[in-house]
Amino acid sequence: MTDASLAVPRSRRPSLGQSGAILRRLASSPAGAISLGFILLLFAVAIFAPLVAPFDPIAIAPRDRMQPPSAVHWLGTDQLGRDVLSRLIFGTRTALQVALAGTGGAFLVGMCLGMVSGLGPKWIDSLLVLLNDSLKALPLILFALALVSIYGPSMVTLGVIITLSMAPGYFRVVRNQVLVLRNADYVVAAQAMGASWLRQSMTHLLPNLIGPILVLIAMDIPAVIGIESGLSFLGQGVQPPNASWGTMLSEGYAYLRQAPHIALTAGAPIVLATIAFTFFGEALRDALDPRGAGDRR
Amino acid sequence: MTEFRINRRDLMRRLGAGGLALSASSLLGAGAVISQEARVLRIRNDGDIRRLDPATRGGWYDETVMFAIFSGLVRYAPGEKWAIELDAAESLDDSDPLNIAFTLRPGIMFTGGYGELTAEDVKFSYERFLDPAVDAVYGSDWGALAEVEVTGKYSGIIHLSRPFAPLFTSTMPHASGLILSKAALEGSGEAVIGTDPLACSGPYQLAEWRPREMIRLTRNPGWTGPVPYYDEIQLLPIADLTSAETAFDAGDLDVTQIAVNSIPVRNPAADKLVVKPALAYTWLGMNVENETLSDIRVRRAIQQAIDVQEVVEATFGGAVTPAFGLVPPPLLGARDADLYPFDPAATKALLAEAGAEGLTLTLSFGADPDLMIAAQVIQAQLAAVGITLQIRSMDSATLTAQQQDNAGGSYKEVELFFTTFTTAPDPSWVTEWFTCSQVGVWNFQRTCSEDWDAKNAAAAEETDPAVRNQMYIELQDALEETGAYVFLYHGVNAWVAGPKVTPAYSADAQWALLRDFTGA
Repeated sequence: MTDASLAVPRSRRPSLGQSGAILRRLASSPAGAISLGFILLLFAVAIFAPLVAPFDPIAIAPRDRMQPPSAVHWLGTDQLGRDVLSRLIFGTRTALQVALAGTGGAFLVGMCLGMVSGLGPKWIDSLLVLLNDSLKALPLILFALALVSIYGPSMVTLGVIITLSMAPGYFRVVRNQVLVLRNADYVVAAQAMGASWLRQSMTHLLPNLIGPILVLIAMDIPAVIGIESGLSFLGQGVQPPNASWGTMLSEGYAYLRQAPHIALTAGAPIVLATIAFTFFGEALRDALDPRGAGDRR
Repeated sequence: MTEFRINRRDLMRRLGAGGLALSASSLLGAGAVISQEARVLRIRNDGDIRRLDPATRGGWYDETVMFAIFSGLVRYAPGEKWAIELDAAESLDDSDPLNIAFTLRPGIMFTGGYGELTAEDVKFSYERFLDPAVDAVYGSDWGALAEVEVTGKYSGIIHLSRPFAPLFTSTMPHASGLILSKAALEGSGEAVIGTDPLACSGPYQLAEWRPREMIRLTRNPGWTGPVPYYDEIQLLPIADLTSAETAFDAGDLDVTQIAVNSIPVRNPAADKLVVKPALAYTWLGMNVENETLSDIRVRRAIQQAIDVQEVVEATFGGAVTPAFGLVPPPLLGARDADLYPFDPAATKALLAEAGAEGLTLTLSFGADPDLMIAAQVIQAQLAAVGITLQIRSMDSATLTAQQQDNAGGSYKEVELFFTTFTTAPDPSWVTEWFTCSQVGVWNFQRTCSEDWDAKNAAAAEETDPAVRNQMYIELQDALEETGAYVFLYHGVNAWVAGPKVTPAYSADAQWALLRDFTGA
């Protein structure tokens, strides 16, 4: 016979049914549905870039430079005669690669340290909080330019910059959540039954953190796109001949009078992607916590 | 007794009349002010002032201001050709190339109560270039000076130790020929001038300097030469040409330089567009002390892999022509062909011979949109012969610091790089940066030949133009032979001006000659 009173309380892990409900709530919000659709489109474009791009994005054709939009080049050509649409498509791939790698790296670093901080002894917690606050206090652009000047501009440097600048946000959220959840009945019970730190973290804590973390990731992606575009605009991010929205914007800016289509078409996806991810993050937050949605509106 | 009563309609009527009267009077007042308004010219400066000292000046941003606030014995005349005219000098006798006699115009007063400009000031101003305490950046301009002999209050003789061809092309009419107040500089206790000119001897004086915001010049009351048209000139330091052009279109600037790529979209007549070949030279350099580039066959291969015509066409769309050397075409010594032109077959053979197939190199340069385009074209051209080129666009000061890191040795890591220099209208100014003594200073190719240095020194002393022309062509041939140079372009300078301004520029339109600007 099993004594129900001795059973370990279950953690509030989202079930498949709950995920479906979240998706339904997300899709029922116009902002959520439209932004989700746009984001899916961006991912599709990024994944199938070589198939959908009409031209080689790095092949130069100086004689065709700065042509306005036409039937051949739908968004015209840039200062080196490259097809703007093709560069925009491959720029989408670059933006999402950097965004996913950067936020993924920041999430992993922030989550691991946040778990250690929340579950570990007090001195480790104090040390990690101090390090985290110090890192967060660094001015982002100066920090980024310093790293670029030391290690040179590259995708790896860009990933490191984004990871280090974004990780403190994840650390703080994870640590705070862990500090709250570690006293929950199911965690205390797991501890009493001798569950290791790793098991407590992976089985009982992480599933309950995933909601706020997903919202944070969605909200951070536009910031990461902004950082990548900003550094590329300054010539310190993605290097030629690779396509990037920021690089295209920077190059288009120099020809704003002669060929405004270059800067305009490079600026548009930055704005649209930023809006889409922000709206998606807000809609996801509302979908995960429908009770708080009314209060926030 | 009349009862004083006023209803709301009367009140409004009376207030309206009063308001009308006030408006009219203020308009009339404004009209009176407008009629007395000072003539103010607002012009873009390509940077903020740094050092207004003829011996240690910075760049054009300093020189544009210096030409307005200081006088020289002679000056560049505005116009299409490089010509000089008397400035503070009343007469100048150059019949003896080693002894140039001058007489000053009496009555030119320095600002700040430093008295009249005399021959003692000329002596002080020119001889200080040789003073080690001054550490003159432009010391070579007066390298041939023996002394300035003062023969009277307003007269003197400039004695040279050897013939010096650039004296009347790039020394005396340039900023190195400007005259400072001996009393002011000695009284300051400093060896050099910073951003405070101390005492002005030109048609204008520095009235106000708001760092990174405005340099305001007003008339020098002690100036006795031709009266300049504008009462006040406001120079706005705007480094970015696109921003400056936007400010011009918005009416915030009367005159500005514009980017080469903006030339086709301007209205030449309405914008008073002026486009002139620049006295500048841009080239791709190779560091011969870099391990990969130490083999001349590799350098030659890169030289012949680059189609300069295509690079220039892609960068400027026909507004600029390719360069065939360092010396810009208007000057004596300009070449008209390369020794090692574009030849991809030769490149492949050289790379195979050197065992250097599959090279990966880095091209570094200070952030610049034109250079970025040129770099990407070269990247594609080198890819066609199997060389992978990485582009490193960076802060130019950081790159220069690395190239000058002679003690630390990090200069060895620099491989290919772009450099743009500007010059004065004499070829000696072009070649002086490629001597052995300039290795690690401004000679970042680090090519060094004592024989070349001797020929370069001899060319500066040669006074026969035909012989001198050939000497400079041979000097550039020798540089190309090292394999460390790919000459790209000289560029153009383009300006636009508002309808109420008649601008005046030097022959290459590098400087706005502010004192010669007039109204339309």
